[in-house]
Amino acid sequence: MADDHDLWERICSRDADAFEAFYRDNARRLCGYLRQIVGNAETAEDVMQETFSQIWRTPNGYRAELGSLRGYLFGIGRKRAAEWWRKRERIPEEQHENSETEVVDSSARLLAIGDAFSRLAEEQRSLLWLREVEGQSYAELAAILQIPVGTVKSRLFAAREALRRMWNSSGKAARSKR
Amino acid sequence: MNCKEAAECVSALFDGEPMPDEAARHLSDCEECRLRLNEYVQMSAELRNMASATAPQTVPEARWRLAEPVAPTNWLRKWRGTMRIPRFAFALMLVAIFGLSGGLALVKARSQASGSVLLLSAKIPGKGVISICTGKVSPEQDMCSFGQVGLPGTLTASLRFISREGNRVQIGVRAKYEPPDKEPATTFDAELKGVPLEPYWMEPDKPLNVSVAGFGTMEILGELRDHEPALFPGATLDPGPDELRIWSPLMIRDSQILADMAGAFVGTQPQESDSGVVFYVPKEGRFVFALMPFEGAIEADIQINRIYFGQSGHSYVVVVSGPVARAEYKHVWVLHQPEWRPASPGLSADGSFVGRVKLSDVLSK
Repeated sequence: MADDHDLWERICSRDADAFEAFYRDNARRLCGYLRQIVGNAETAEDVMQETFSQIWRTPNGYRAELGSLRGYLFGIGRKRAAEWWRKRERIPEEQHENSETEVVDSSARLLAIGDAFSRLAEEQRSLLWLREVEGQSYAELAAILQIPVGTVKSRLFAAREALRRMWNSSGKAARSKR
Repeated sequence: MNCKEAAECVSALFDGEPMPDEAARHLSDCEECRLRLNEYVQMSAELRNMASATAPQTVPEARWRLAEPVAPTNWLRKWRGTMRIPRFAFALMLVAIFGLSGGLALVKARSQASGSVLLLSAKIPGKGVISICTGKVSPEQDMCSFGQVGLPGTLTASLRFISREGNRVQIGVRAKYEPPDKEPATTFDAELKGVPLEPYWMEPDKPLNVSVAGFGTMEILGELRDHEPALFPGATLDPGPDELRIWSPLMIRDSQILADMAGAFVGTQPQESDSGVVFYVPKEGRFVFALMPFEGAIEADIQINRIYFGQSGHSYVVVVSGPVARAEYKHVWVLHQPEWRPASPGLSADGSFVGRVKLSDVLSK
């Protein structure tokens, strides 16, 4: 947290080199996460760029005691993605057709997990992605999703079970080919 | 313990969280739970594989340098430089209305510019601190009144300073509770007519419990200060997390000023998921603002201390005396109810006011 605190201080003092390093360390990961939320790579990059621009324009609101700077970044990114959905006047659950066609790896098993994952509700996708891929702690997940820490455990369980059911129903055939 | 009860513990175990002994014993003997854990491991690996496959292979070209930075202090300097609200007006923020419909709480107070200052607040069980009033420690003036509905009845009270001995102060309290089946009077004075003024000695910083017939106990908190606070006691210029705040609002439609409420203040309750604020304008009805979308509301833009929106061919701007919300909020949602008129005690359809409201109450009416 001390490093994050120092980095944040530098960002707040308009240190462009520090912000560039912050961008390079996190842009791809944030893009990967946002792609799961908005459903396509192009929009994900736009939202990612807006997220960094917003933080650079008005660095505001990060509190080191609540979690990592990366967690804060992902929380802002999630809010921007939610704004994007609101402007589209669509619900996130409609996206899975896009997600399916967006999966780059053509192997059947990645299609299976991608298909099952894209059918989850947005919060479940966020929880699983941030936990499994980004390795965020329960406390950081609570801060990003703005839910109590105690709720993280039960919602993660619900998300895993939902994914497991869909994965088993849609992916067994694919996995059996391995 | 059965599999259903142990399942959530399996998920937590996978995350490296501690597991109750009973669940651990069950897991060691249960094939189904071990299969669940194994599947969690596989799913996690697949998700990470998917992340590797779908993440951009190179760092996208940065566009953040194109964003015009805003120095954190510029807006503050500008705000101070252009502030037209006199200092006393901020004390008169106490002429404020907190909450409508779902939880009415009215505060009125007058203040003096010099002398010792007594801050008083009333805390209602289940409603928190609902009023703060301030005034010079002298008996001939300074009274604050408030009403709280939805208790389920209505509590109306007025507080005033009587005398002082050292650090002790004597205050007078008039309070009345009306059960929900009785309609309260339209003004505080009318509601409290005939209610005797009960004197109480209190030491500021120590809560004073005041019994109200038919209701129970409300808590009065006091604080002596050597000056009148420019803002609310404990207030900060920066809004709280997820708080929508309206200070001294001026509403302009096209180029016409619809309402000017210098000194008024209201903010949402961030801990309430459906909290909004209202701005009532005589003959125009009320405008309900919230930081989240809600039924019938249109999206408006926030620019530090301004809210811009368009409706029915008109452009509106609400100018306030401080940040509307924290910087991460760029938008606010507005619902205009032109036919709405106040029907609560102490509120007149002929005067502007601001208040806090629950969106669920707005939408249910």
